[in-house]
Amino acid sequence: MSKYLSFPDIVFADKWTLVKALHDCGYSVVEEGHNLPLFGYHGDQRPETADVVVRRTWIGSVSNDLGFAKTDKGYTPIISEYDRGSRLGEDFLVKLRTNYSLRTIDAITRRVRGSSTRTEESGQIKIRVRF
Amino acid sequence: MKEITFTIDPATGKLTVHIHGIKGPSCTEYSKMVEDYLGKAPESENTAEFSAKVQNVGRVRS
Repeated sequence: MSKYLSFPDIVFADKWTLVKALHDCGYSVVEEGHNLPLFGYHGDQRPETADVVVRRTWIGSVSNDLGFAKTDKGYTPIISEYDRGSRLGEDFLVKLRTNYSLRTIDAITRRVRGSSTRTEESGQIKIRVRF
Repeated sequence: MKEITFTIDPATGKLTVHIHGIKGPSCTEYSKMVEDYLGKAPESENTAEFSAKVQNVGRVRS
């Protein structure tokens, strides 16, 4: 049985933006609630719970549920060790953080009624919002 | 013109923010906006603009 890993240093403060970022990662069905149970690939209920969940059905046939638990600062990921190394990939959290950042920038650009330009400099993505 | 520069490190997904052209502590307002999404204050530096006082110019009636 694959254990779940938690990542308390990775925080997604805004739930709506997190859900959109999960969509951008290809997970269009996202369940929201409070203390939702998580299930392993055998259908076994795990002791961990989460408040935003992508069910294993949408990840892969031998995957476990992917969860995000609400904390004081926002939502932190709970990912099975197996899925992190296979189905989701080691860089899943990087992709999710990047998509979350891009959604955040979009939202702020709209709020300040600005315009943005995107460039790449020294391997970094730079987005300038002018308003 | 005011500008916010966002830098994303594609190796980690980490976002840093730099705010320009906003005089005085009002740039904190924009930093707070980002913090609402990130859950923590973004990395930023207070340039000379932050320390500049905003002058209120009164209206003159003739």
